[in-house]
Parts: sequence; C-alpha cells; structure tokens
Amino acid sequence: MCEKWPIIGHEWVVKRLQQQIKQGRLAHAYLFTGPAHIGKRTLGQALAQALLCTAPKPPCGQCRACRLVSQNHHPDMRIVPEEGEMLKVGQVRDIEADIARKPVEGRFKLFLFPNMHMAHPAAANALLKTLEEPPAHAIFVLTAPTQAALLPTIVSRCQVYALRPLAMQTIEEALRQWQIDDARAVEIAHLADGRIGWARRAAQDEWLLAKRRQWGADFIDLIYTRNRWQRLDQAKRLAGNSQEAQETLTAWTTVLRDMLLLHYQMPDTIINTNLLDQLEPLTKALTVMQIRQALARVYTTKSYLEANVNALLALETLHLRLPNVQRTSF
Amino acid sequence: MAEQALYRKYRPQNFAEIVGQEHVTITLQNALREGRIAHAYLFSGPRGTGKTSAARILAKAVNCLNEDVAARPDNTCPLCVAVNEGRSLDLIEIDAASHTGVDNIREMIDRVNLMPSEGRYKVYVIDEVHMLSTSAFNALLKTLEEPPAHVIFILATTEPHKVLPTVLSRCQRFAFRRIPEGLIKQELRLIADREQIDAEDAALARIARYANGGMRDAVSLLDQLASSSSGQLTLQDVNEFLGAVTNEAMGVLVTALAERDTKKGLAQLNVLREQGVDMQQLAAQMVDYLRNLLLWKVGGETALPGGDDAYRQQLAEQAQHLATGQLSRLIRDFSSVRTDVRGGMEPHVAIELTFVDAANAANISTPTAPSKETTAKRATPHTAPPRTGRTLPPKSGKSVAKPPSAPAGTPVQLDENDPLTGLRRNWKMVGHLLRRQKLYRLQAGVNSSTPVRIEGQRLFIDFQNELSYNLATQEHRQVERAVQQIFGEAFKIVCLLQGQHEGVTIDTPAPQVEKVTPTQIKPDNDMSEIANDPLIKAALTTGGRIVKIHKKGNEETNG
Repeated sequence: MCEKWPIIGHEWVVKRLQQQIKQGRLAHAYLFTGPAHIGKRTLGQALAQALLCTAPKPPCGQCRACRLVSQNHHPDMRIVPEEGEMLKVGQVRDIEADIARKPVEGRFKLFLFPNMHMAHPAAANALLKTLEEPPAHAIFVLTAPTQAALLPTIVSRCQVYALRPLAMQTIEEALRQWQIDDARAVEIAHLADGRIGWARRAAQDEWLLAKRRQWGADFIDLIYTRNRWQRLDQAKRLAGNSQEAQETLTAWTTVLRDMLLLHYQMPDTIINTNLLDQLEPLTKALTVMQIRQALARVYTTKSYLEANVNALLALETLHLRLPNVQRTSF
Repeated sequence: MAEQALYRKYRPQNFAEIVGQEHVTITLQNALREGRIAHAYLFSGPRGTGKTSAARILAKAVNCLNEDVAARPDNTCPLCVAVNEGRSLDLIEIDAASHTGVDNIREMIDRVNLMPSEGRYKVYVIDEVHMLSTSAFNALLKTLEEPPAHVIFILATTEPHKVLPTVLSRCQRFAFRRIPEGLIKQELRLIADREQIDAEDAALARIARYANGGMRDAVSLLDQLASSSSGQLTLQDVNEFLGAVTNEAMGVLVTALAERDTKKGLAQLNVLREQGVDMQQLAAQMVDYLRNLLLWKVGGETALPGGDDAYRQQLAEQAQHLATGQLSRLIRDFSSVRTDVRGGMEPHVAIELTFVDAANAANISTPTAPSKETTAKRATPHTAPPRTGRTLPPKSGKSVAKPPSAPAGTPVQLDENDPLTGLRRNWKMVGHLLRRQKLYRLQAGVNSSTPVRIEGQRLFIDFQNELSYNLATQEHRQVERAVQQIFGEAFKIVCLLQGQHEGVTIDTPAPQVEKVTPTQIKPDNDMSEIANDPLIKAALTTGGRIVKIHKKGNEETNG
C-alpha cells in the first residue's frame, strides 16, 4: 500500500490514483479540473512524487526525487509553460522531440501542463496526436478550470478527474492542524469556499485575509454610496491593479450570492459570515431581481476584464450600474 | 509501466468491429469487393466514432494479401500485421494538427510519386485535417485531385466545415454518426467480459449515456473506473466518480422548480454541492431529465421506454405539475448554464441563478386556463413569457418597474375610448420588441419618445431629440410594424420633434410625473446644487430632464 499522499481532501481521487499505481494500470494522460486554488497542481505534483519516488513506500516526501519534484527540478518531470504564460506550438514541438527519449532516472517521464485552457489553440491541436498515443513511459497531467474550457478532442484523450470544492469542515480541520486559532480558522474556512489552496495562503498571509475582508466591506460601502463621483472614484482606484480587480470582483460575487441566499432565508449557507450583520438590512432593501442582475453584471465585468478590455471603462460602468440603497439612520 | 489504454487495445481491427457506422463500413466493403477504390476519402464525424480506426482498416484492406477479397483485412498476413504493429511503410499517418504548415505538405507531395514499398497502395492518412493552414490546403489540391495510381488519401476530421470546399469536392465523403447508447453499452459489456471487469448493467448504461455517442469516451471511462476501483463496478461508483446525481435527488430539484420553491431548490443544491456533485454535470443531467419530462408530457408514457417503475412514477407525477411551455423554457435555461460557465461564472452560481429566474419568470407570467390534468390547487400557467432576466437592471435609486412582458402573438388590448393611455403605458414594449429584432438604435430612439395623440389611424409620437426623431422618421415602417405586433392595430406613425409641433394639439391624459424643464427649476438650494453637478449638466444638455429629486436621508457615513 502506498504512503499517505500530501493532499488534503479529494480522497476519492487519491484513492483511485493509488489503486491505479498499485495495479500498474496508469493512464497516459490525466486531466484535473476545478476552480482556482482547489489543489489541481498540488495533486499533479503528488502524482509525480508517487511515481518518481525512490523510497519503498512512495511518495515519501523525503528522498531526493521527491524533493526535486517539489522544487520542480526533477529531470523526468517537465512543467510547461512557466507560470502565467500560454502554451505555444514551439513548446509542444519541443515536447514531441523530448518525449521519445527514455526517462533519465525513474521509469516515468511526466509532463505537467498547468492551465491548459490558456494554451494557444494551435498548440492544443498540435498536442492532440502525442496525447493520444504517447510512448509507454510518458504520462501527461493537464489542469484546467473546467472541461468546457478545453477542446473536446483533448478531454476525450484524458482520464478526467473533476476536483470538487472541499467541505468546509475539512478545511477547518486542516487549518486547526496548522495551528490556526479557532475564530480565524472558522472565518478562513468560510471564505475559502472549498478552495484549500486559498485557505492555506490566507492562513500564512495575514495580509491576504485582511484584504479579502476589505473587499467585502468595500462592496457594501459601494451599495450605500449614492454619489456617482465617489463611485467613479472607487472604480478608478480598483482599475489601478488589474490582478486585484479580478479578485475583488470574485469576492463581490460571493457577497451577492450570500445576499441571494439570505433573501431565501438560508443564513447558514453563506460564505461571508463576517458581514452577516451588514448584509441582512442590505438584502431587505433590494429586490431579488436587483441582486440577481447585480450578480450577473459583476460576472460580465469579470469576463470583460479577463478578455483584456479597458479595465477603467468596464469597472466604471459596473460601479454606476450597481444598485444603491439609502443608509437608514442608526 | 503504463498499460495500454483500453480504447487503444480495443481499437476495431476490421470492418465488422466498427460499431454503429454500417452506412460507412458496408459502402467501403462493397467498393473494395468491386475494386472501385477512390483516390481520396474524407471521414468526418464527432470524436470517438471510428474515423481513425476506419482509415487504418481501409489502409490494411487495400494492401491485404488475402485471396478472398471479402475477407480483407484478415489481420494475419504480413502487411496487415505490419500495420497493426505500427511499422508499415505504406501507411503514412500525418498529424495535421502539429504539421500545419505548407512545408510539411510539400515534403509529403515530394514523396507521393515513389512507389509503395511492399503493398499495392501507399495510403496517406491525414488526421485532424481541418488544422491545415490555407496554403497547405492549396498546396495539397493538385495532388489530391490526380494522385498517382498507387496512392490513396484518407482525410479525417471532426470539423468538416473548416475544410476548404475545393478539398471537399475532391474527396468521397463519409459522415460518421454518434453511436447509439444501446450499441455502446453492448460494446462495453463485451470489453468488460474480456477484461474480466465485474460491472453492473446500470453502471454500464450510465457510462454509455455519459459518453454521448463517443466510443472512445465510453471505453476510457470504463477503463478509468475499472482500473481505479476494487471489486464490482456499481452505478453508485459511476455516479460518485462523475459527480452525478441520482434520479431521486433530481426529482427533488424538479419538484422544487415545479412548486417554485426557490428556497427548497437552493437548499437541495447546497446539499448536493457538499456531497461533491459536479455542478456542470448536474446541469447536463437536468436538461436530460427535463427533456424526458417533456417527452412524457407530449407523448405520454409510451414516448419514453426504459427506466424503473419508481422513476416512471416520479415522471408521471411531475409531468402533471409542469406546463409544456415552462418545461421548454427550463430546458433552454439549463442549457445556457454551459455558456455561462464558459463565460467565467462558477457552475454552482449559474445553476442557482437559473433557479432564482425560474421562480421569478413564473411570477410575471400571464396566467391562462390550467391544462386539464393540472389540479386546481397548483394551477400552473400554460406559457411563460420570454425570459426577461437579462434585460437592463433598474437604474440605481429609482423604484423597480418590472419590464412589461410581451408574449409574442397576443396583442395588448387597447381601451377603445382611451387608447392613448394604454399605448403610453405599454410603450416600452415596442422598444423591447425592436431590441429583440436587434434594432438597437431604433430601440433607443423609441425609448426616448412618447405617443402624444391619435387621429383616426394616425399616431403622433413625440421625440426628445433630433437624432431619435430622424432615425424614427427614416425607419417608420419598422416602428409601425412593431406597434401593430404589440397592440394589434395598424397605425400610421407621425414623428414629432419635441418643441416643434406645428399645428398639432397634444393630448396629455393624466401625466404620471410632472414634467419639469431645466428653466423651470425653482431656485432652491438643493436644485441648484444638483443642476451644478457636472454629470447632471451633461445629461441636461443631451435632452435629459430632472424628474424627481430624492433627498438624501441622513448624511452618509463613509468608512
């Protein structure tokens, strides 16, 4: 039996992968899908460790091979492309040339393609043939947010594991094990919304959590702001940092979703528990259609930002169109 | 050692093994028997339906050494074996997706004239041919039209519409079809038996359905499940793996939809999400389920064979409570979840919104007589209006006016004595209709106009600015048509520009809001402050009016 994998949650996937390794019936291509920070890459790395580890009970996490894998330096593991870049045809041709060569150290050669959905269409197509019938020592690991984001021809050549958000309980327990105090563990577990990777980062980085709180509070302020100059001003500030704008909008979608849930009297299921007191009056002041349309707007704006439109313009439009509520006297 | 995937191990090796494509295999076999082999074929069809397999089999068949033409390919002669082992020199497989350039094609053309090394024919299989660049296609044209007698081209693609028509016309075209579920299930059973995989029938049926006509998808899924689980492969296994939902859980969701109990629906969704159900898969299943309901409703029980009794009873029960129009709208909505997700929306949010919309659309639908099976208690409206969820949201600060619904084909009744009021009240609908016809500029114009007077069949419309006025004057026929569609009366439109009605008296039947022109603003502190706001100023100069001023409640506390 294999050693425990360094993965939190996703037991059903790990169980199956272990079984495959045990029976020697590995697939030649895996596709892990799921939202950002859910653990796709970590899982790919764990799989690489399990296959390349030299200890009797892989993955040990201690041996040279395991350490090299976790540092992305193992000669039999390639991660293409670099973080944040898109896969290009040239890189695929490189891989095609490389793949025929036998592994240097272990029995396998692993090719990790994080964010396959960002690949250039030509590159994705160029990969098809290799992905279909690679040499026996090659194993591909692809990751993407959804299957729908990839060419169907790619998906059908892979064993797909759709990673799902973890239960809040699981994340909370993990956080407690990392010596996070109770109140913070509960808050982070809620805000993580099933994404263990985010929880881990938030636990280590006080700043991230503070920012996340701020984004939620910003949204509520915005709804109470009637003055359009102030709104435009906020939009301008947000547009200054496109990376953060994306994350802010993601946070806003969770706030709006919480408002929908509150509207239907389901306070136990909301994510932004820290804002509950403020969200309740806000929800009462808006109609369900207003909330729903605001949510759709935030999503549309988010997709615009991803499509690289003029961020300031998109955000200004959003800020002007979000509903307004009069602050009642306290 | 990674074992060969089952879909590679069980690739069909002769024509008989290709499942569900008889129209292709029989034609090809007949052609072979009569020695009428074309010099170029194009195999098109969805993924996993047997294109590449058929190409390889055809390549073997034309070169096979078996005496009996009907028995080719026999998979035992040296040439067939060479192909099966991937070392034949006369079968050249080109991956067009990674060799898209014109140089790759030129290189190939250069060698086309060389004679085959062993067999009678040299077979070029060009897979994913739609990826070739235009110049590569063009370079191929001449050779494809009149290749040497010893050459056969087989082009394979999932997207024939991307292939140049000049290429298409030079090939014999074979369209592969999605393989029916039943046949996929049979094949899975066959493979399971040979591989000694212990699998439940229901589990295989679920896999077959999930594969959606693609054999490769089905076989790899079976492979994946069998290799990663110990013991019998059950339906529960498959569901857990796919993140799929049982029919019972599905029933709860649909009942919530039928009863418009959004809370219940959202709660159930939340439970499923905690269980790790894949929300995109859920949307697909939802469409499937609703479609079954629709079939049941339209065609009765006989329309839908199969399924166990509990499931059938569930369908029968729910079919009573959902109207046909409602079902078809729900199916559309759940189908659009897919596009929403592609647009970056998280799947669970997309589905939740669909539930919210379902309840809301029902609220503004026009009730008609309940269908005869519908119980009086839960009278459901027959038809729901087109979805209005995506229309513009109300402007901030103002009260929410529901956009008037406009079910096509049912004209709004105008009061005979006072048609103008009805027209005004529903004037927005003209805009909505124009919007649906994609006449956005005209819609904008109509939205900034008001009907002011009716004289016989002439309808006077007052426009706020010159731009709209000009546009509407030019396109008055479109407006007339829209008005007729909505109100059922054929008016002739007369356009007026605000402030320039010469000789036309304007009826003002009970205006809803006091019109205040900028010059009439009282020298109130508030007013002047607002009128000085640069935004308002800009709005006023482009034809805006201050209609009402909301006073701020308390001083805002920002922070």
